[in-house]
Amino acid sequence: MKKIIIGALCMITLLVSCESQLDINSDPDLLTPEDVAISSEIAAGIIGIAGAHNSSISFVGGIWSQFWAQSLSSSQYRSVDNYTIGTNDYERTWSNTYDALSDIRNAKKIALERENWNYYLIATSLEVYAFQILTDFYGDVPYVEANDPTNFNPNFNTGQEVYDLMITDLDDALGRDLAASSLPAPGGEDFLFAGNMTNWIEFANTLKLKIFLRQTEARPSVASAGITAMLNSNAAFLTIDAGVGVNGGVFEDEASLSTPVYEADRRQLNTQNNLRASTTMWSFLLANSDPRLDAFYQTEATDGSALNSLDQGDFNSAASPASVSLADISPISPVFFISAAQSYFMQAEAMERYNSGTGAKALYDAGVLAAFAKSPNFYDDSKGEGEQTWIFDTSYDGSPFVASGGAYEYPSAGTLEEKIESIITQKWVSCYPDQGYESFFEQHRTGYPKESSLPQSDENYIPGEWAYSVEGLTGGVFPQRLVYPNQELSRNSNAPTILAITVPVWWNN
Amino acid sequence: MKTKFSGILTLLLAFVVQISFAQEKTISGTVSDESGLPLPGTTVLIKGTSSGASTDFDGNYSITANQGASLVFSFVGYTTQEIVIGSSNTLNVTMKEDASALEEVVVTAFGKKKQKRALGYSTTTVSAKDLTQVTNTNPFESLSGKIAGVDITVPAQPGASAKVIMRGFSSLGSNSPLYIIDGSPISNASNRGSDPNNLSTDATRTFDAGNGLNDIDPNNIASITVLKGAAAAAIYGSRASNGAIIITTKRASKGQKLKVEISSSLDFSEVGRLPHYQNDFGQGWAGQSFSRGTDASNENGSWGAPFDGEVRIWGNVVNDSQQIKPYVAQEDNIKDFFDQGTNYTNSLRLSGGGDTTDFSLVFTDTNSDGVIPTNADAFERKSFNLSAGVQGEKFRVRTNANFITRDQNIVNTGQGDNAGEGESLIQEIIQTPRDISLLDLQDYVNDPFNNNDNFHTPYSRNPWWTINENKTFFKNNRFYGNVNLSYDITDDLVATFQTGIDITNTSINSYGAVVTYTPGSPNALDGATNNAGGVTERKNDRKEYDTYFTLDYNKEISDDFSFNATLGTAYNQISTSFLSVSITDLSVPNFYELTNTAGRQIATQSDTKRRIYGLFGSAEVGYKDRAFLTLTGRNDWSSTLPLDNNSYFYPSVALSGIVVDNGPTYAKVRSSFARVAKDTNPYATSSSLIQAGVVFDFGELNFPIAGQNAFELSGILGNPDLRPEITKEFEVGAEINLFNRRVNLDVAYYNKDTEGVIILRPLARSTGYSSITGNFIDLNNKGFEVSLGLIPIQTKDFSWNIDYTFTKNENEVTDIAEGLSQILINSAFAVNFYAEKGKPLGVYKTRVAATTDSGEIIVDPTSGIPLQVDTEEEIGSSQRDFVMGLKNSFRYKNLTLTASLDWKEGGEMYSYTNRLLGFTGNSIATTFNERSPFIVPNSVNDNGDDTFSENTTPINWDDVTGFYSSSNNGSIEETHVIDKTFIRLRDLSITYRIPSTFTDVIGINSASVSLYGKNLVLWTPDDNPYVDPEVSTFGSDLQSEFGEFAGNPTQRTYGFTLKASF
Repeated sequence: MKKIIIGALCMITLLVSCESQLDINSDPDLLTPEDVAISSEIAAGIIGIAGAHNSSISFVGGIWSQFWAQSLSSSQYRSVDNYTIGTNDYERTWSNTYDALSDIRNAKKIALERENWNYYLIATSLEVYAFQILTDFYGDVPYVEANDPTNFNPNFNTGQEVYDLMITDLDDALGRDLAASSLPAPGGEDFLFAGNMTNWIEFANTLKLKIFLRQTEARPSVASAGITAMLNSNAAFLTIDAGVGVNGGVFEDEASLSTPVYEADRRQLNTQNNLRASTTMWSFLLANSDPRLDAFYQTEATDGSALNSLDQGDFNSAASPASVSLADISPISPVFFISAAQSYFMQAEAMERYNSGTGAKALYDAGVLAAFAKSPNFYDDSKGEGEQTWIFDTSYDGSPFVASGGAYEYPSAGTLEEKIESIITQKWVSCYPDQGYESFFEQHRTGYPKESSLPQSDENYIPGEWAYSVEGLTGGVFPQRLVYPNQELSRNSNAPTILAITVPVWWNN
Repeated sequence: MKTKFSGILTLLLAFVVQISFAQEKTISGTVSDESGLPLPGTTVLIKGTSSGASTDFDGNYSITANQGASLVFSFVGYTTQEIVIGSSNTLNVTMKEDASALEEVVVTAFGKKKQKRALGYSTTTVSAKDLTQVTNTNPFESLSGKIAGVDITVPAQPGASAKVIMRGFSSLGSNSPLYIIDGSPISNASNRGSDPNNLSTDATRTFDAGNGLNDIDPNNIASITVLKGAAAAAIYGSRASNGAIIITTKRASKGQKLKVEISSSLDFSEVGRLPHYQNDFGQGWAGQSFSRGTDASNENGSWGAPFDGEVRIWGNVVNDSQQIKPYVAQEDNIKDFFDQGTNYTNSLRLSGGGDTTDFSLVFTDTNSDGVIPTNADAFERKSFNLSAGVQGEKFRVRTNANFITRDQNIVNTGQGDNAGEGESLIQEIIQTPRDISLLDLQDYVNDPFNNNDNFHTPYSRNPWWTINENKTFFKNNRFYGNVNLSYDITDDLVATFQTGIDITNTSINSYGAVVTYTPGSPNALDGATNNAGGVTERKNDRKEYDTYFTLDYNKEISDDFSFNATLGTAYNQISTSFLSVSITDLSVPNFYELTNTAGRQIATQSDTKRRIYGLFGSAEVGYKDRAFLTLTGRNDWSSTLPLDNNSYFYPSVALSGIVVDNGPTYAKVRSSFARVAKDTNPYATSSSLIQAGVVFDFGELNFPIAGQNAFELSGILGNPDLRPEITKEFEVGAEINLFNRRVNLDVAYYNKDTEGVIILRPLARSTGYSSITGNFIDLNNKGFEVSLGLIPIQTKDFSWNIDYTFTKNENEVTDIAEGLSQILINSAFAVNFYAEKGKPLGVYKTRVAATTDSGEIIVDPTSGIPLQVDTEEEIGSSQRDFVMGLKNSFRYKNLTLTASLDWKEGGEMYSYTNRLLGFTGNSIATTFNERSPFIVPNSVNDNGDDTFSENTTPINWDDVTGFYSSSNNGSIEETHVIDKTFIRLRDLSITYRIPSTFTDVIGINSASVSLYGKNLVLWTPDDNPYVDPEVSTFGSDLQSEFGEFAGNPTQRTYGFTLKASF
C-alpha cells in the first residue's frame, strides 16, 4: 500500500525519480559493521589502549609518581599536582579504554566463533591488560556487563570480582590450543609482537603475575597460591619490552602520528613547558649519579647554564621559570604496556616472596639493565624544542650500578623489606616517562619509595622520597585513586556514588 | 480615511439596484497588490450606487458601468481607490497597502493569502518599510524585540548569524524555523568554523560566517510573515515544527510603468562594548613588576605593582637596549586598537509590467569592513534577483531567481591553536597589560621590540601579528529560486505546481603562520611555544529540491457559508557534500598550499542525502464572515526514519470568532490545537565503522600508523527503533482593536509539549559507545506574548505611533530517559551546561566552593583557598525572564523619527572573556581589597569531626593572583557565569521625505533621506562589565545559549541613506 501511495506521489510531483524512493538511509562514506576484520579491530584496539593510557593517565601518573612537577609559569596540570582533579578531569582514560574495549571484545567474540585461538589470546590479553589499569585507578568498574550495545546501564563489578574474572579469562585463553587455531594468523597489525604467539603467551603470563602481585597485601593467600602455581608450571614471562614502537619506527614527529604524551603535552597544548623536573626523581638520580638524569630532563639551558628541579607541587614558586628544568618528552618514544624491566622486577619480587629468593638477584640485575636500556636520550639539550632531531639512541649501560659497590647493588643480604624496597624503587625509575601510573599503584601497595616527613625545601630531605605537594589541597593525604567520571555517573543509573580521591583502592591496605 | 469593512459591502451587494444609462459598457480587469499578487475578494463598487462586484480567485472582475462614472476598489488592509472610467474597457488596479492595516491580510502556507480574521493562530507581519528603515545587511538585524513570541539575536558584527527562536527551544538539535521564500524553502544552515554537519561545542579556534539568512537581501523583501505556532505551520510538514517564516519578495504590478528605484547608504561604525578594565595595576605577576631578577616583567597580565607614574624600563632587552615609559594606565589601549568601520549598500530596482506580464529586477551591493583593523572583517555581498510573471487566460507562470555571491574575511574566535593555524585575536588582546599601548605594538616588522622573539611576553602573541598573519576567507555562491505554474480548472478550482531549488557552494580557506623563536632570543629562553602553521581548504555543497502540487477550491456556498479547501502533495530532497583537507607543520613559511608539509594531509569527507514525501489537505469553513473553522492534515514519509516506520500523520484544528466588529471596535478570539511530527538527520538508524584513531584531551593519533590502516566501530550507535518526535501545541489568543484602530492589542498563550525529542543521547562510556540518536527526552514550552500598538496622536501633520511587545517563555525538561540524569549541551573549562529533568533547558553546573549547612565557605586551612565539592552543583540557567521591545515613531509632515528599545531580562551566560580578564588581572573584580591579603569572607575550617572553626588564614600577598585562577582556586569558575540581561537602544532613525513639489520639478517620483544609528546604547547589569551578551562563539542554536569564548566585540553604527524612485 505504501509503495502505491509513494508511487502516486512521485507521479503527481513528476520531477521525481521514484527508483530508490526512501531506502537511502545508509551513509555512502562509511563501512557497515558486517565488513569488519579481526585484524583491523585488534590494531584499532592496541592503539586505542596506547592512546587511553599515554595521553591522559601518563600525566596523572607521572605527576603523582613525582617524575614531574607542574611548571610555575603555566597551569595545565595544577589540579593534578594539588590533588583536586574531579569528576570532569582526565575522563578520557575511562572513555578511551572502553572505546578500545568495544573493538577488542568484538574481535574476541568473532575469534571465539571462528575458533581463532591466536586472536582469542591476543584479544583476551589486551582486554585484561586494559581492565587492570582501569580498576586499579577506579576500584569498582563495569566488567561483565560492559561493552553491550543493548545495555545502557551496565552494572559495576567490585574490584575483587574484576581481579578474579581477569584471571579466569586469561586462563581460558591460555588454555586453548593455539596450534589448532583457525586462520588468518596475526601479523603486522599486531603492534606489540607482530604475530609472535610465544611472546603473547609470555605477555599473558606476565599479566597474570602482575594481577597476583597487586594482591599481596589485600589477599596474600590468593597472590601466594596463584604465583606459586605459575612458578611450579614454569610459566614463561616476558624478557622483551611489550609496547607500541619499542624498537622505533611507529611514531613520527608529525601531527597526529607522534607518541600521545608528546602530542598532547607538547604539540597541541598552547604552552610546552608545563612538565618540569620534580625534585623527587631529580634528587634521586642526582644522588646516585645516574646518567638517566640527562635522558629524563633538560639539565642545562641552551646557553649552557645549569638548571634546577622544582619541588613537588611548588607551582607558585617565585623562581625564574627559565632556571627550572623541563622534562624531556619525545615524539617518537614508545608506549610501553609491560616493559622487560617491569617483567624482571615482578619476577624478582615473586621469587623473593614465594620461592625463597631463588634467582632474585639475577632477575633484579636484569631489570635494572633493561630499565637503563629502555631510557634512550632522545633529546639534545643544546638545541631548542623546535630544532630537535629525535634520535632513538639506546646507549645507557646500567651494569656499573648493579655491580658490587654500585649505587643500585641488590641487597642480597638484606631483609625481605629491603629487597622489596630496592626492587620497587628501581621499578619506579623504570616507569619513566609514560608509566607513572604503574609506579603510583606500586607505591601504594608497597609503600616504596618512602613518603617524606619533611618538605623538599628542608636540607634534611632524603633524595627520592615522595613529598606531599606544596600546594596540595587534601590535608596532607596523598591521592589514592581517580574519582568516577561525570559522564559515567550521569549516564548510567547503576553507577555507584563517588569516593573521594583520598580513599584507598581495595588492594591497598 | 479608513477602509470600509468589506463584509458590510458584501451584504450591500445583496440589494443590487440596476440603474441604466445610455453609455453603459462592460469594464473588466485584474486587481493585484503592490507585489503583483492577485487580490481575490476585492470589492468593486460604482460610486454613488450600491451596484458592484467582487474579484474572483485570480483577482479578475467584470462590471457594467457608464463611462465617466467612478469605480471604488476596496479591500481590507489596502487603501481604497477611486478611478474614473475612461474609454478603455480594461481597468487593472494595483492596490496599495495601508500600512496601519497591513496585518489584515496574511500570507500563509504555500503562498495563500488569507484574511487575518479567519486565522485561528498567531501571526505577525513585518513590512518592507520596517526592514529598510535603517540599512541592514541581515533582514533580521533590527527585528529583535519587534515580534512578540520570537527571540531574535543578531550580534552587531559584520556577517554574524541571526538566531531566531520561536516560542522557546523545543529541540536539542536544530531550533531554526523553516524559512520559505515565495513558496519554496531555503536553507538556513550555519557556516561555522567547526564541522558544519555536527553540533560542535568546541571552544577552539572557530568562526561565525553567518547562516543561510545572511544571503537574503533586505531590499528585495516585500514582507515577512511569522507563523509562530504549530497550527500555523503544520501543513508545511516536519521541518516547520519550530515555526515558519514566510518571506515574500517584491513584484511589479500589471500595467505598471517602468520604475527605477535606487537606495544608497553609507555608514560608519566604532567598536561597541569592550570590557571595563581596572586601571590601578600594571604588568607583572603575583604582585611583582619584574620577572627575571630586577628587570622588567615579561608577564601577560596586570598583577604588578600599583601605578605610580614613574618612568620605568619595560619589555625585553634587545641589542643591549630597552624601552622606557611612565608606569601609568593606558585607559583606552584596547579601544584604540580598533578602527572605524564602513559599510556601503547600494541597491537598484527596475520593475514594470504589461497587461499580462510583469517583472522586477533587484541588484544590491553590500560592501563593509568592520571595526577590526585591516580588512580582516571585510564583508562583500552582491545579490541579484529577478521576479517575473506571465498570465494567460487560465494559465499563469511565475518565476523567481536569486543569485548571491558573498565574500567574507573572518576573524577567528575562541582558543588559539599553536599546532595548527595559530592564535585568535581577542584572546591575545585580553592578555595585554594595562600599561601597554596596543597601538605602539603595531609595527612588528621594523620595530625589533615588537617581533615574536622580543615581544614583551612569551605567554601571548602580538595581536597585530595574529590579525595580519592568520587569516580565514569564506566564499559563498548561492542560487535559489522557483517556477510556479497555475491553472484555473474552473472558476472555483485552481491547480498549482511549484518547483524550487536552493544550491549553495561554500568554500573556506584558512591559514596560520609559522612562528619559530630564534634560539637565544628572550622569548626562546623563556620557553615560548612555536607555531606549526597550517592550512585548511574546505568545500561544502548543498542542494535542496522542493516541489509541491496543490488543488485549491474556493466557494461561497451560500450567503452565510464560505468554504475553501486545499489538497496537495510535496516532495523535498536535500543532499550535501562536504570535503575538507588540512595540513599543519608548514615546510616553507608563508606559503599556504596543501602541498606544503612533510606531514599528512588530513581529509574529511561527508555526503548525505534525505528525502521527504508529503500528502496534505486543509479545509476552511466560514460562517457569516464571523466564525471560521480550519482543519488541516498531513502525512509525511521520511527517508531518515527506519524503513518500516517512516510514515507519520499530523492534524491541526483552528477556530476563530469575531466577537465585536462595528467599525471603531473589533475583537476576535482564536484558538487552535496542532500535533506536528519531525524526523531526524540522515544515517542515524544503523551503526557503522570508521577509520580508527584515538582522541586525547589535546590532539589525537590517527591511522594509518606505521603502514597499517585500521577501522573501528563508530562510537555512535545506530538506532533501528527511531520514531518521529511529536509536538502538541495548544494556543488561545485574542485580537482587539479599539478607537478606530488607535489601540491594537494581540495576545496569545500557548502550551507546547514535545515528546520523544530526538537527541544524540550520550551513553555511559562503559557501554563502549559514546552516543545514540533516539527519542530520549520530553520538553515543554509555555508562555504568552503580547503586542500592543498605540497611536496616541494622529493628525494630518503629526502622528505618534507606539509598538510594544512582550514575550515570556517558560521551558522545562519534563522527562528524560531511564539512567540518564542529564545531557551535556556545551561546556568550557569546568563549567558545564546541561539539559536536566525538571529544569529549564540549559542549566549551568560546576564544582562550587564547599559550604557548611549554614552557608559558610569551607577553606583549606593552610592556604585559605575555598575547597570544592566533589560533584558539580547548579549555578544558574540560560532561560530568560522576558523579552520586550518598544518602538516609538513620530511623524511631523515629511519628517519621521523612530527609536527602538530592546530589553531582554534574566538568564545567565558563560563568559570566557571574564575568566581570562580575571586570570590576567585586567578586570575590575581583581582589585578586591586593593589586592592586599584577605581572608575569604565568611570562611571556616573543617575540624574533621563535623564541626567547623573560624578561618584565620588569609590569601597571601603572592597568592592573590592565584585566587583568580581556576588552577589554584577551582571554585572561582562559578563567577564566570554572569547575568546576560541587557537593555539596548537598538536603532534610531530620522527620515525626511522630500516634498513632491520639489521632486516633481527634477523629474523624480519620490525621494527621501534618512539618518540612522544602530546599537547606540547598551546597558548591562553590574554582574556583566565584560561583553555584549548577544555575542556567542558557539553558533546560532541551543549550544550558543551557553555563552561566549573570547568573542569579537560588537559595533556601534551611524549612517545615512538616500532613496529615490523614477
